[in-house]
Amino acid sequence: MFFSVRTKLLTAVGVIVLIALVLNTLVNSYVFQQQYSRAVQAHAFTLGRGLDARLQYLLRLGIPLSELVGFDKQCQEVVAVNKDVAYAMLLALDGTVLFHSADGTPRNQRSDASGLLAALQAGEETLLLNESGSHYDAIVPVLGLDGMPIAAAVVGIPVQAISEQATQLVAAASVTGSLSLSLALVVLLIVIGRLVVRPLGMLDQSIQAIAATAGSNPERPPQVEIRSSDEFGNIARAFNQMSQTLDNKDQALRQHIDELKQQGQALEVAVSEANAANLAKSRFLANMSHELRTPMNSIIGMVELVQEGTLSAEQREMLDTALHSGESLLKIINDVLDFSKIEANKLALDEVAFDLPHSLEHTLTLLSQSAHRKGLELLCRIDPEVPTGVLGDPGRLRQILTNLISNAIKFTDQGEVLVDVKRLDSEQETGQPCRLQFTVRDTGCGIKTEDQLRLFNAFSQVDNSLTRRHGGTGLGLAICHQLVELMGGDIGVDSEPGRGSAFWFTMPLTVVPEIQSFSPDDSLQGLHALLIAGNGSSREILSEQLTQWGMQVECLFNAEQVQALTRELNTGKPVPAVAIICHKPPDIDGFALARTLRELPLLSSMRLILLSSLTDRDAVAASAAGCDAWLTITVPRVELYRCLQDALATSPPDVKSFKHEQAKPTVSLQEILAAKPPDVKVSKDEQTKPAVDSESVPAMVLQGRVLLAEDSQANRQVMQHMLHRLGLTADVVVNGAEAVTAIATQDYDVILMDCQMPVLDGYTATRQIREAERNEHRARRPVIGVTAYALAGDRERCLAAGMDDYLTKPIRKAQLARILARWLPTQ
Amino acid sequence: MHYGSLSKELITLKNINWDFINNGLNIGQRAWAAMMCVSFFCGWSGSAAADNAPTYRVLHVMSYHESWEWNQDQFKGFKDALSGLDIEYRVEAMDTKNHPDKAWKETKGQSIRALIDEWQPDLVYTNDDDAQNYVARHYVGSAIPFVFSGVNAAPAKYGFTGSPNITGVLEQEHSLQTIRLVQQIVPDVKRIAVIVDQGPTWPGVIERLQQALAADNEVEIVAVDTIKTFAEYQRKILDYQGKADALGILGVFGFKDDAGNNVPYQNVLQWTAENSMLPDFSFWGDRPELGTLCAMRVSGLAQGYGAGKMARAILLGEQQASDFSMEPTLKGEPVISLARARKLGIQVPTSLLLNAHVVTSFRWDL
Repeated sequence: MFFSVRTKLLTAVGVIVLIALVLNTLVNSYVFQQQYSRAVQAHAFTLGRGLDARLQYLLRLGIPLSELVGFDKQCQEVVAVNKDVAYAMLLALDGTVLFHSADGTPRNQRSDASGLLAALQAGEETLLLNESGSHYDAIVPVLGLDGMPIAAAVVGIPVQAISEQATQLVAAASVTGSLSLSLALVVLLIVIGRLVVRPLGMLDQSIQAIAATAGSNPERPPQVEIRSSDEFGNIARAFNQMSQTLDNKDQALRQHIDELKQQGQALEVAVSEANAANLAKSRFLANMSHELRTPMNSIIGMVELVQEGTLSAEQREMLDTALHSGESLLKIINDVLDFSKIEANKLALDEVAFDLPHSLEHTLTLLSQSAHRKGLELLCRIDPEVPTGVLGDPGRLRQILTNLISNAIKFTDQGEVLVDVKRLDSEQETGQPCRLQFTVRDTGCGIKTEDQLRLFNAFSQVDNSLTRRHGGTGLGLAICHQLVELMGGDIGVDSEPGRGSAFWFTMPLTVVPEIQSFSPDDSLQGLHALLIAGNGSSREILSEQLTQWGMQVECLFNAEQVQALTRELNTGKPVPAVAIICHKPPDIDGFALARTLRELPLLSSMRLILLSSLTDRDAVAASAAGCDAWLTITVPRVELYRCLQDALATSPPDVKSFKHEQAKPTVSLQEILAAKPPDVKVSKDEQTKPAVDSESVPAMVLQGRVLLAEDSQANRQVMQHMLHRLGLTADVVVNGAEAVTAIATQDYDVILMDCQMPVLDGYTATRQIREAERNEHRARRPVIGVTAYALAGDRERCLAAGMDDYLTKPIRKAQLARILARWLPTQ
Repeated sequence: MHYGSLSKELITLKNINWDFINNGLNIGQRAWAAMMCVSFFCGWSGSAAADNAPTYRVLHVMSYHESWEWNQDQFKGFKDALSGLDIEYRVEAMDTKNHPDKAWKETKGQSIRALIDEWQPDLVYTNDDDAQNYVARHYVGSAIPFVFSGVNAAPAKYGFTGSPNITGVLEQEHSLQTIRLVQQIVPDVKRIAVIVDQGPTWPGVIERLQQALAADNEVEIVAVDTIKTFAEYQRKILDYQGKADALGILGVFGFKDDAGNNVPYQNVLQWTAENSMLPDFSFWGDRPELGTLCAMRVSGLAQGYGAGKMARAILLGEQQASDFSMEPTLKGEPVISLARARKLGIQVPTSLLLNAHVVTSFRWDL
């Protein structure tokens, strides 16, 4: 509710004045009543003394009290003259009324009031409240000529008279106060109106007018007209000063805004330039990738080709070093390329169904050699709740795991690297994403807390000294981080210096039920297995796995326990069906243990399976020790299951040879790298089956006529050699135009078309080829694009141009063979 | 503000109940007190201004002697009215009470007139009839203003009527007031008898008495006796016992005894008091001391004060003598002889005693 200043002031002043009036009236009334009471009482005594004085005069005239006549008249005069007096009388000392102001008052009437009689006889002036409480009696003694009291003059004051006076005073004060209040309010209304409200209103109007026109005249700041020198004048002056200040600030603000606009424009230009520069960087990276991959393709290809020939040990060692360096350089190039693609938001994720445990185990298999070379155990534990078939990008998942595991191996000098996969949420319906957590735990040097924060930043590494020792670009974890985020997951690390690290990431993956590559039956159900492992993690994982398959597992930690067991077996304990020995010197010398066990006649029926890093030397030693089978310790579950099945179902010699062949690692490190093309998409035919074959080198011989269009002489040579090794011969052209011409004259089974060529690039040439096929009604020939860009969109661009498949440089022999095998018949 | 109003206000101030001041005054009382204070200081400043006024010379000529109370009262009242003025008084007494013969009066009159001519007073104040007859009468129309009081005769007798320089206050007895006083003392008084000697004053007095009672139905004058001898007086007094309710004993100065000698009026009145049981009255204040029950005497103070007020205005030049009419004073002073009342067995109401000059003893008993 709105109240004007005038109303507020009037109300406040009115209330204050009213309160003051009421208080003043009440206080004055009280004070007056007290004073008036005292004054009336004093007056009563004065009147009594007056009567006494008259009596004294008469007594001095010689008239005794008993002879006085008509003194009632003096009493009446007292009452008549003084309105406050109710009665006046002359009493004898015994209370007898001698004279009284009231006509008809019986004379000689005696008062028996004890107080009155006492006062009369005391001979002193006394004020008494009479018996009825209605009057005050002012008693003045009358002394005879001898000085002794002979009577008393009594003057009666009605109590009511005093209260009536107070009431009248209050009434009069109320009326006067009301009139004063009204008058004061009227005066205040006029004064406030003239002195406050009017100037305030003028000031308000001025300010409103200024507010309405503020900013319309930037040359002249708004000013209020100053009409008085009082507070309103001060307010107006202050407002003008404030207005001037605001105007100055406004101008400064405008200037600042202009500057900001200019800076913004400059910033836009800078951003535009930065974007352009970023685009140029991306293009540069792509070009650099192309330019780097092309010679790398030649180098690695040539080295591989040379390695297949007859070489001295020294030459082979030198070539291994060259190949390893080339692979390292290629990995760096791939990392930089991946990072640049992610930064440019040009990384596209695949979404295909794949066997998650198989993919995990296979990744570990590929990395197990590097782990074993450092004497580390690379272990994998997959929780039973983890689904087998999922929908996602297996290549990128493998890339993340490879990166993390490689790092763990790199920074761990002894101990183990354990990959743990578990499901975070409860089991959900098919088709719904489940959330999985992958943890790579090592027993390495660990990472300080402050370093953990920048682990996932690009180009950031924990320890420069370590980096120098171990090498690397510092992009691996940054790429993992961005890939995990792209997949909707989180990534992190739990680590403590000296106690190892645990890198983990989560990832939502949709469950696909139809992929069940491995379904264990009950063939191992109830069989007694002896597990001999010094490493706790290995023992635990294997024991858990064997138990899941229904076996009764007995774990032994060392040779002493084995000896104890053998003693128990001699006493009649049932012989285990199979003994799985984890070779891990110096804790357990698996070969010696196997040999010892095999030599015991009592255990002749027990199958012996050795798990080790499984170098060629291990294989020979295992065989010599009498093992029925030997596997890498990072063996996939299905491999172990089948190994157990076969070992338990067949005779020892057969099993030995079979298992050895199956367990032999057939994939080299070169092949690991070569088998990880960034954007290779599994074809539809492969989506429903594990991509196991994609990582192996098919020992195949192809048939068909190939046209190779490649402008780079080095690449032409490499690819020609590879085609030759695959049993193919190729016609070679150096640009797209020649390719179009060659196809028009020759019938080729497949065309390898480099995308970037002078004269006519591969895309245009393919379009012309397709157009010619349509025009001439010729059969469609498969065209496989070859590009070194490896950027998102390259594949689509190839397909859009009419190509059928797509290869990324550097071309690896296995990769080439795999692609060509799709389009050419094999022998 | 002149002295008279200041005097009244001083009296009023004296009557204030100062208890109110001691106990605190309300707004009205304080305002009134403030006004009174202002009035007081105005009056004081007025009197201070009078101190600077010129000195006046006033000659007072009294017909009788200076110790005569009547004369003292008049002169006191006169001076009260002139208080505050710087006046040089000079008093000349003709002493005609003790020297009633004409030759004395003539001689005395001449000497006083000579004094007036020599001293040239600013004003002459004359008392009673002899002073008018032998002094003032000779100055009618002169430059010297005359103011008189206590004059029983009509002003015309002395040629004062229309005189520009002579005015004053007449002395006329309060006849009706005296009768009312008697009635207050003795309420049953209805019939009165009046006794006078053969003096020339009494016919006029009796006439005025009769005029005063003419309209009064309550009191009747049953007899007016002009008596020559004391013996006759005694008989009359005794004869009136039971026939009249009260006696008016007015002229008692010319009774002769058997030897023809004048009987002192004190003796006459003592005899009356001792032998008459009727309440009696007179018009002069000395009679109750000599046994008369009561009198409403002409106030000497009032006479002198009235003349003084006229003299003040004349001296200050505010008014001239011819501006004042020559009138008697209106209110008398009651005088009651409590000794006579006791002798008569009368209990006088206290209200009368409290407002009267009370004589408690006979003079002869003092």
